Amino acid sequence: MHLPTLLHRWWLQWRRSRRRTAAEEGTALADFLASPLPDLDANWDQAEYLVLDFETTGLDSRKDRLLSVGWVVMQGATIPLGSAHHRIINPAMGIPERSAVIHCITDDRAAEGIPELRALETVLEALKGRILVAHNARFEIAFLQAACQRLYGTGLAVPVIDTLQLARRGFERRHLPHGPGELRLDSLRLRYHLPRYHAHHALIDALGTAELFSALCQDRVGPRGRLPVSRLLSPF
Amino acid sequence: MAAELWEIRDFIAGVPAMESLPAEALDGLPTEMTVRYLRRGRPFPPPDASPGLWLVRSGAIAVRDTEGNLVDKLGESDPFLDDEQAPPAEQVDVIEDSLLYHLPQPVFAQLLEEYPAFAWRFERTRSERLQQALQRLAGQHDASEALMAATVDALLRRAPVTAPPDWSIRQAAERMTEAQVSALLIVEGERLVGLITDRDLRRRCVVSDRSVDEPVQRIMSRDLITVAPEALAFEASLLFSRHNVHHLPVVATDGALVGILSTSDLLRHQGTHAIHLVRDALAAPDRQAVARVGARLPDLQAQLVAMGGESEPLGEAMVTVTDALTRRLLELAQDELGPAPVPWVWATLGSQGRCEQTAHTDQDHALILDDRFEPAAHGDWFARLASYVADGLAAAGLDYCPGETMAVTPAWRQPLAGWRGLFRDWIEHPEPHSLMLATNFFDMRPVAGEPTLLETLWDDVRPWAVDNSIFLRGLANNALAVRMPLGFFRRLVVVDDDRHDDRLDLKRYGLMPIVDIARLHAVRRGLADLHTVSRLQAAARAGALSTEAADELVDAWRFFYVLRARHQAGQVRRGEPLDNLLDPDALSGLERDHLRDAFRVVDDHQRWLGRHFDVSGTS
Repeated sequence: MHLPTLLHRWWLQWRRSRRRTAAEEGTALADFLASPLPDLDANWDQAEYLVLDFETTGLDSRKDRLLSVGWVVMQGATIPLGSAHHRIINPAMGIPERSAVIHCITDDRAAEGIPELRALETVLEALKGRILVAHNARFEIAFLQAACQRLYGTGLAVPVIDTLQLARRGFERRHLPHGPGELRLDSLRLRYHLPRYHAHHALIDALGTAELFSALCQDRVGPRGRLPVSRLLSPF
Repeated sequence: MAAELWEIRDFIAGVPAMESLPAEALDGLPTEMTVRYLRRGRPFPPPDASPGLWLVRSGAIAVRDTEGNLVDKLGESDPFLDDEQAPPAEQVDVIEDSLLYHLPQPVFAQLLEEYPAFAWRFERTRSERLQQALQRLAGQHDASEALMAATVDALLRRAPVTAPPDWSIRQAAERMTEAQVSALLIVEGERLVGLITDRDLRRRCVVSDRSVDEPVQRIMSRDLITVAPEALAFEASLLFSRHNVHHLPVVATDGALVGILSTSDLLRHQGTHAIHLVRDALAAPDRQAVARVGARLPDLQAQLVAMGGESEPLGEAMVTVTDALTRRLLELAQDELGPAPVPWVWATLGSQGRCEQTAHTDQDHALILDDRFEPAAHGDWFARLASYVADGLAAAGLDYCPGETMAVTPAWRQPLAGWRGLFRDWIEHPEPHSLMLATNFFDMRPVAGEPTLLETLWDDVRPWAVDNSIFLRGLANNALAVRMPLGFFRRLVVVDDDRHDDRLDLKRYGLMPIVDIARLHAVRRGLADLHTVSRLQAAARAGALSTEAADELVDAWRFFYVLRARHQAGQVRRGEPLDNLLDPDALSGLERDHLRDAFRVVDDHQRWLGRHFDVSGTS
């Protein structure tokens, strides 16, 4: 096993054990933190991923709340659509207009959503043994941590792949100029000849991210080339 | 299903191969599917994927045979079936970054079982699919315009008026007057034996000074053209114009007499029709009037297509009118030039010769003269006849033949002995140019004059060709010269690796190769048939090719023909010039599939010919 893989694994395990002691016994978080870590030395097309996207009431993870969650599972390079999951979440707060125009979720629809705790429990269950993938994962992680803090009094520790960072590294390796515009999900999809999807829907964005992730990995390595998961991880 | 997978569901619903699935089946599909992204250059299907049905969401995939020749190219919405039945040893590659949906084999198998209409696309044989395609095309007509689709028995107004053959002419005439009919059916017991009409009474009785007490059977017509009660009015109209009769006894297949159909019965049921145009052409007082009739040919075609006309009746209708134009022009020319110095026959060739014409055609013709022809004395008369007719046809909308295969060219205006010499030369020295001429002139059909002249020529020429294997190999080579397109990719016709056309030339890549194949088989069996369909069927009966192969080629030819006629009918309606160039964008997904089948039919037969005649296609 490579040194970076070992280091990342130790670091994750250390955080998981510390937080497990903080999390209340029997909660979904404690359960998740006790589950075994996925194999970070596996080749990218041999691992399992949970590709996740949130819509939220705003950009501030301390004040804003989750509004919807969407994900698909990836088994290696394959995305089984049967794994597709989407839920509206009741944010227990008013939805600011500036966010409603983006995700098109109204107060009425949100009021019928599931409670935040339920949403978080299903995410944690689905994350077991899998690597979390998100586009601009910093955002998803911030909201996940904030929700865990709020509901369980401590955060989670999970291996994370950020497709935005993977794409940026790709640009940098090729010395290509790139700004925020080039790194947006839809611009990157276009670059890899992926079809245009309806944006700002948690499930469609998650599916779009999964397809982009597959494209980014294949851009980096040939069909039989080796690309261990650990080389793709971001330290969150 | 997560309702949010509608985006994928809707894409699947728009895939032609899946269009026959009902909504409830489509709703359940997305969650059964997996998504794969494959970079350009990757092998396909991915080695770790299970068998099943793939759909291209975006990107492109190339299928090649073992020799690396492009066999198929798949783009958005195209299916790729990966199962045991898929041809082995194909090399399939992703040639553009592709996003693919995959339906696992068990789910696909269940769809096949539950939805026969869906299974049809994947399971039926190519010939069955082509048959279905033809029915679909024939079904695409406007019911309000489908007057000619009425059956003959629906047009009959009364029970048949009959008389026995031993009645006197007087009795028969009285019966006709009493029943107010212009034709009387003569029956012996239940059996139809003859027909007399007002015209027969005038010509065969009054004018020829025959006694009205003689039995009616002395003046009745015996060789009757009859029509079946279930025949289409449209078919009946062709019989009227082809045989120049005004009454058709209607006789069931078991021989029972049902009634009699007259042209006036039909006229009540139709607008512009072949029969009108023929009548107007034959009555045209001058070349200008002939030209005006010719100008209505495109409308006739559009109308026949709108009525769901099938290939052979459609072609015959067009030919019947064109023949009438030609005959009338020949009559008018003779009015001017005086009587012909020696017997002659005016022959037409090309699509008109084979009775496969559409409104978009050149004029192709030739003159075969009696051997008593003397150039110095008679040459001028025939030269003037030829140019009179050619100019008249051109004015009627039939363009001069660019290859000058016309009777105005001295070489194609010869006595019988000259034609014998030409054919012998072509058959014994089959160089590319002489082969091209031979293929043209093997489609000659007499239109006016002395048909025995042409028959005499054929009696000599056909056996020469049957026995000449080098000539036949040349014809085979011609039939292989054009390789069929592989199919469609996005908006383009994929001809091969290097050539993608934005229009499908239905003549070059469809009709002509089949015409050439049919001619080859007819010539090598010494058959007199001219129409591609009857050539193929007769050749199959003569053992030149299998019945299955002939049937497939016939269906493919009909499919191309009707597609072309429909395409041109659209151009007529839009007031555009007619051509054979189909825009792939105007084709439904299903029609693309059917065309691909039709291409493969021709391609398979070309390969068979190549092996059989030991030639390889040269293009």
